[in-house]
Amino acid sequence: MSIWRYANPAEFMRLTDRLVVPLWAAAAALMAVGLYWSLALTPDDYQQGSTVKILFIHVPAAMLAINTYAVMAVASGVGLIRRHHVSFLVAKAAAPVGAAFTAIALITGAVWGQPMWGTWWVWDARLTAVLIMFFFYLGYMALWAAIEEPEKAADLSGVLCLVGVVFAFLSRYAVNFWATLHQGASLSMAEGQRVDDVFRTPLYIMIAAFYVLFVAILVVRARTEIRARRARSLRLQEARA
Amino acid sequence: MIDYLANDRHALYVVSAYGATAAILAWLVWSTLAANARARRDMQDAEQRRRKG
Amino acid sequence: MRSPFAALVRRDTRLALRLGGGGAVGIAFFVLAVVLIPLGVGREAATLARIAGGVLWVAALLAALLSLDRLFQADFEDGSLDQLMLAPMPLEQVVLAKTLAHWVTTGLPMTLIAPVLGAMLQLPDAALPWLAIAMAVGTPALSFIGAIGAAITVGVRRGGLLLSILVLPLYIPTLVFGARVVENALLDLSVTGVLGLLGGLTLFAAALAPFAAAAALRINAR
Repeated sequence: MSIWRYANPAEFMRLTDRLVVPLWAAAAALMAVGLYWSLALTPDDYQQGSTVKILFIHVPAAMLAINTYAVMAVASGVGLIRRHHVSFLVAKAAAPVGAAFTAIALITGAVWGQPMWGTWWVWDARLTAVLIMFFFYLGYMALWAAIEEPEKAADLSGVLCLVGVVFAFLSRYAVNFWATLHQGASLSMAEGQRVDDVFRTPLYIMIAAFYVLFVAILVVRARTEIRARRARSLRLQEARA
Repeated sequence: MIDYLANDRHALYVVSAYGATAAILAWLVWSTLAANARARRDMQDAEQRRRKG
Repeated sequence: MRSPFAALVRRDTRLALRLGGGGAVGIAFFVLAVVLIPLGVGREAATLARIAGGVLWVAALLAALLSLDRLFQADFEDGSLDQLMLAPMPLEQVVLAKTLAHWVTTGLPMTLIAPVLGAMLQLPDAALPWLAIAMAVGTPALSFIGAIGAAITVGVRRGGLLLSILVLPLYIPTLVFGARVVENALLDLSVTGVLGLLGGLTLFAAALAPFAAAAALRINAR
């Protein structure tokens, strides 16, 4: 019994078939509890007022904006090394989800920044790095869309993803370096600013809700890709016969 | 809740942040489910045609 | 120097320098993009000097990007690349040779002309040598990183837009360090540390690009 047996599309489908409904249910339940707790049961922050409530969605979205790319990089690496097509399909399925969470992180960040910082956008190292991530997702999706042969598209986007993850780290470092000169310190969030205890539990619940939702969406999208691939190969067989 | 929103000067920001997030997530979930249903039908069609032909 | 490596560098350089090869046009683009800036921003000397480093580097990024399509595309389409894969040197070395030729026909002339443009953008004379050194150290990274993108998109018809979406985000570290060298020179700060980072980036790109690009070319040639 090895984990690699789920690299077989049929095994993957059989396993995930049982997981889809519980995953959606868990995501919905966590989201309901998290939203109620963070919106109705937490007080306003003495400095941020009610805008502190934006952080309950901003923080999980920003975490997923970065971590989704890590998922894609691991999946691409596994796909390139072990030649498992399902891995590439998981990476492909994750990209639009990562882009969506990155967009959420950027939008909620801007909406939080306007009342708190007095501006929609600050060229802060973290904000800029997340914006750059968004373009990594766009490029990866554009490459998949541009190449017709699925096998070629899988391998090439796998190479791009691995190169991208290296440069994502380099960009993060470069942007930190860049911000040391240009950044107005008054506008950045103090490093390691503590999250007050009242806000911590609902924040953790929301993070869990976002992660479970991510997994649910990812699994369904991967199943979609596997089915599309199967339909395509059936049609090709038909055309050949 | 309504009073609270009306009295808070940041309410519009909070509501629009949650609104935008809800819109994006709803689009994401909807497109995921729609594409999945389409792929399932597509695959069943292809399998049926193969069995017949 | 009759090695296949040198022969390939010479061949690609000559092809690029030929009229219509795109080498001279790329440099003209670089100059034109920089000349447009004062027309848009205004001619105030302090403002121009302040943004000169960033402007020159952004223009260099775009000029390098626009000339990337000739790196592998023509050879891929007419079958020369298949021949090169059979050549008595590894594909990684082919990539290295073609990338060097790309740098000789884009990065090198841009490095030579950058101080002139820098002076026109009102950079003080003391900063001009540092600008040239930064371009010399940093532009090879543009060719190497670009080679990865060019190899990945070589099979895509009209892949120019796609290439720019893939490659420009990868150029960000080069832009940051390259422009910072000029900025530090302008502000009389130490430049050697940043220059070291820029050089490290170039060496890293040089080490990574031949393997990544060769892998992508092999996938495309299947």
